[in-house]
Amino acid sequence: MRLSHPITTHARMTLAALVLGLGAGCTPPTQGGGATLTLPSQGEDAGTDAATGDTPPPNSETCIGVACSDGGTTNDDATGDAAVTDSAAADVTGGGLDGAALYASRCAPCHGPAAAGTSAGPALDHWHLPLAQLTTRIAGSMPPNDPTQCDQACAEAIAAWLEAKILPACAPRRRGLRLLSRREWERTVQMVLPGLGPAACQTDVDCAVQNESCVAGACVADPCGLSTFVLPDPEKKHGKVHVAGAFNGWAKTVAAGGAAMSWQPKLGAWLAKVTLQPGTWPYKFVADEQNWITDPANPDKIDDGYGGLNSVLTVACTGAANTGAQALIGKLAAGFPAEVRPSGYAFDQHAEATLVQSVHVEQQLVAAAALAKLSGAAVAQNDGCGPGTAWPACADAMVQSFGRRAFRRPLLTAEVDNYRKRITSQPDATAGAQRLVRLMLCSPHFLYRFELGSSDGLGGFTLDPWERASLLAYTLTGGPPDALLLQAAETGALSTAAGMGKEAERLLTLPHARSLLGAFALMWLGADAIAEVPKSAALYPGFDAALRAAAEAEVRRFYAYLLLDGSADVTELFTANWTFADAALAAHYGIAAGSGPTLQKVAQSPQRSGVLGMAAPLATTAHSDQSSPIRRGLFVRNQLLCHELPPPPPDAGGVPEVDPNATTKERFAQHTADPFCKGCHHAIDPVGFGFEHFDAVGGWRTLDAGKPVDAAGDMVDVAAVGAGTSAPFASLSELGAILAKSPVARDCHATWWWRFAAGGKERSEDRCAVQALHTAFAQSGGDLRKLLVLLVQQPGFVQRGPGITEAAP
Amino acid sequence: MSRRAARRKWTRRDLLRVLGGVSLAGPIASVLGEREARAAAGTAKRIIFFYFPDGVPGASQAGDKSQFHPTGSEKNFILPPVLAPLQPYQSQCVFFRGLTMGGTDSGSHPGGAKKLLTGVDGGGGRSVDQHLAQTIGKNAPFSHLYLGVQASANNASGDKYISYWSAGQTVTPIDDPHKAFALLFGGSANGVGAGTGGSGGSGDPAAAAEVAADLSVLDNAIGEVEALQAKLGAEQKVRLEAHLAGLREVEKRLKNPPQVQPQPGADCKAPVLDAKTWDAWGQNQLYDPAKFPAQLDAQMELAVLALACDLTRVVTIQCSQHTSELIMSRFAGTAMYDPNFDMRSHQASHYGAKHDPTKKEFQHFVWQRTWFVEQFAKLLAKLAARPEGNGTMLDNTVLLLCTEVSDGNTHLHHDMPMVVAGGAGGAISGGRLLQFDNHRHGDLLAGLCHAMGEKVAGYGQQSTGPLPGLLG
Repeated sequence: MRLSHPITTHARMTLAALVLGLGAGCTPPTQGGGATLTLPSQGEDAGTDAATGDTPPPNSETCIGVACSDGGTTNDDATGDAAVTDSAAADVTGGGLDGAALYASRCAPCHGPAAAGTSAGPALDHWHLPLAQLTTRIAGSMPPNDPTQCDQACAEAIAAWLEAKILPACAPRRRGLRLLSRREWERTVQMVLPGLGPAACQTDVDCAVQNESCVAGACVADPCGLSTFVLPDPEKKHGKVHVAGAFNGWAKTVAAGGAAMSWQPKLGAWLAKVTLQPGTWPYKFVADEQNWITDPANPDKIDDGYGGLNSVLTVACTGAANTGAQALIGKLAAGFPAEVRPSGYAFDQHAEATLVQSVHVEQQLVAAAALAKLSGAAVAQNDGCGPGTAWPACADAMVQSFGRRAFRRPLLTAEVDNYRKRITSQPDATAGAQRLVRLMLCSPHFLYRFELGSSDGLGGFTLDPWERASLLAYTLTGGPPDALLLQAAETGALSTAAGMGKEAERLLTLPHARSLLGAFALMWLGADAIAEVPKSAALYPGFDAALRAAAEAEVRRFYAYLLLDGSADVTELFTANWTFADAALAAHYGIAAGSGPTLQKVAQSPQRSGVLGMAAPLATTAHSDQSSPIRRGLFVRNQLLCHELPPPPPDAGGVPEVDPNATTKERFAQHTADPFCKGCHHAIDPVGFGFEHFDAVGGWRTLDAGKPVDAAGDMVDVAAVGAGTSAPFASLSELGAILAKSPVARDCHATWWWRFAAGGKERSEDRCAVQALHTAFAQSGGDLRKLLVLLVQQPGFVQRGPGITEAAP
Repeated sequence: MSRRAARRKWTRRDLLRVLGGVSLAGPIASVLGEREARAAAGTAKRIIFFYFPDGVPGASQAGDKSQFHPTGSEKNFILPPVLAPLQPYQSQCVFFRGLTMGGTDSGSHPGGAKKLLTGVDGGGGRSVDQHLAQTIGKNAPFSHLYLGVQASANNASGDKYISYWSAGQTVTPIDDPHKAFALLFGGSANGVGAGTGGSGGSGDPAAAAEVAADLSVLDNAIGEVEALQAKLGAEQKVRLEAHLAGLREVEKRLKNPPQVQPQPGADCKAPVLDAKTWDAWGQNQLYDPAKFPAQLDAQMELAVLALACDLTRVVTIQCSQHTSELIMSRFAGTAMYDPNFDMRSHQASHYGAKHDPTKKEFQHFVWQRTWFVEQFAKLLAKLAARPEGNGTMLDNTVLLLCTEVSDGNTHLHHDMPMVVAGGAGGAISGGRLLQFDNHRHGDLLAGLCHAMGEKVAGYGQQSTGPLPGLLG
């Protein structure tokens, strides 16, 4: 073992492969094209070789892999090796060429005879992207040392051979049980337990306006400090009104910082919500920026020093402000352990990754007991044991009625018997309901989304109507089916694609769809850690909890608005010149916007473009004290183009030291100068450099380390096929325009939705289903709203294959 | 079965009272039924896995010598500066050279984390902590205690966790010390809004009714999960068995409640914990890097308390996560503290090709790694401070200090920085440096199992038995 050697032979070879993976601009260190190839025997312990570096991998000089642009591997879905009986597959041809022979001579030296990969080239036997991308990649960049060896016809022949002889047949997702994520659990509890769910709303006025606001379509309690001001004006005598007080320097006008109030016809009053720090705050209303009015509804007043009275508001945040049901449910949900997210899967609800442990069980018991206490009486009332009924005679009805919501299906007779027996010893209906809630909320039938299906007689399974209803509801609303959807399941309306589509259309009109879309967008962009991601307080004192919350809300509101109220055009993700902002976020962006903590649709700064310019993803893809061109470049590759690159090689450097005299771009220049780094970073850094005008919290900057920012970017390899194509851009709107034109970016967004619905990343067996969704989405003209309807109408949405069969330890 | 009292509900106030010594200066006792006070001679009674992220200043690319690995002979060796905090415990520690995790994924953080406790490439097996939990730890009220410190920060991906329930299936640690405390000492599962701490003990009918209700709930869930198992056969086997194990463990605790109550003269002495400390754990700022030291101290304290009271035999403490963004320059009162400069764990780990003390990354990296070793030493001190039998808890405990890569900059998986500590009940004698030539670390994992009385034939890949020379 040669510890002192800087890089082992293996590492160096791998790096050489990485360097050349992208083809363009790289000159492989060839040592004569006719080198004899020696392949490693399959099953050999590569570990020993690599660790010691004593045995160089085969043909390390001429054999160049596609490691940098490997589209084949996913972390969460291992697939079995494709069995290849022999290479008598010469009958598979493309364009009259012999794919088998071409593969054997051009590809097998690196990728292995059965495409299982070697240390010199990645496996291709579980390729999971559409075949067209494989063809493009082969034609454009393979073999890396001389892409001219294989033209389009050659590439098609090889891809066709791989498809026919190597890749596993396309197959449905595995059937199984999907544990509710904390987010889904919370929504399920809200909807299943009567009287606890938050009221749906469009605006704050739909809620208990004094202490609730409308957030993502549901009324939520205001956080401490968010103070409500109301000035009744039933005849609307004033043209405009604002709040002025010690907290905004007694602003005489809105322009001077006064908190504008909005006219609420429903209330016949002017309304504003303002976040105030704890303390005592004198204030007045100012009508039409001239008449100063004391708050008629507030009994607390003090002398204003001008012969009049100021109203006084005292804000005290004791930490025990909200004890309502919603806060309790949220707290209970947060008490479960974090979900396990397989690497590269953005969402919280992977179908197979999270196991129930004793810690979960403890929290299930805690939560069920607390919720039973809260809702027992309402369940009894709502579910068949109301006035005029007798306990325990009504128990059956209660079990059936509540059970249908909790389990998202009718109960079997044996289940009704079981639950009846377990609750009828309780003294009264309320106690019985409490016990029922406790029992059912800890049942696997509540805790898991069932996707088992029934046998189709051909070795596969088809989801039953109730499972379809759940899948639809959790995919599009993040919660369980509502009464109408359960009814649709019961009447057989979900047995056809048309029926599924119709229900999807209806679900998308519900407030919870808005909320789900927001959650999807936040997770897709990897921005859901925005509330907690550490930032340097010294550098960014203004990036406080309120601004973080606004940045999070912006993503949610933008995406939901685009889909449900806007054009639904996928390209607007990258090009929108509008967004949602409150006063603080608008100030962060340097744009004009209404005041107050309510987000409003505003014209975005020309410096920003769609999600590319949003503070939440910009901040979560940066370090605490500096931007990260790498992460931002990877963000574009992974999140926007579904282009996965391998992890950094062993001797990769970290973040360059913060040198006050160097710009971030200068510090990272090493990546593209060093040939070992360049292979991959050529496709990462130039993209990320285009974001250099944005600091670690997404604020605009013109100087970095005292020097003018150079934000020239290059959207290298926008087709994500491992080619070195160049597409320079000078601003985010130019980058947005490039992405808007990219079919790969469009397809990628559909892929993320496919993953979300499936609860996992695509396996090789899924490539046909993903391809079909891409095609349908393209035909819709890239309409996001239609995408969701198309998604649930795909045959694979309701088809399942046998589940995991691995043995337990 | 005599209807024993419901498990006592401990509240924060109770803990403060007991631990702070306001009214009860006496120690907290281990009175777990008839459980023996000590394990049989020659085996460790309990085990702690202590993980920190991103490696150590090991052998550098340029050939600098490791600043973590001791040099010398088996009995006569020198601890390098990073290990200096372990000096007081040198005679109770075993150090290693030449342990390898194999070449697969060498150079990768996640690849290393997957192999670390499983001994299997790609995390393709149950980790040793889970194995011990399901064997020798099975009868304890908590078969396993997996405590994290900001381990789930930034919506961690699953490969950040080091504990594997089964091949490829990680589980999530408890990052919140308040949560861990409630779980261990908070009474029955139903602690929300409850916990007057009043009558506690015996004969509280309301508490007994709560337990009876929970037991019915568990019984029902167990029946339903078993029915699903029968229906699905081998499908979903891992998921449903994990679920069942969880249900049965909680049922076991409710049926046979661990009685944790003050009892003079017993073998676990109270830690000092006041209200300020409680708040320092950062209830609403779980991922504030400044809170990290206090949170880690809390988790270690709770772990030791749980072990002392025999609530569990197996503990895994995971500090942060690999490729950690933890800003360690926010740790007040340490050498690395700098309010005007952010130095993250992973950032520092890439200090460059050589050990350059004038370079900020390297300087911080050494400080950081020394700090983690110091925390491990603190954990040893906590154990050593608790008398047990003729010695201390440390004598009956075995600990493993580990991280997922060797040198932080090269990420290699050989010459793994690992330290075994504790008297292991006599199973392992310390004060030694064991040197190997690329010996797979699964044998060390197997050796730890043997130290715990679990005689495995090996652990993970290329493991044939306990690491030669480790035991005895």
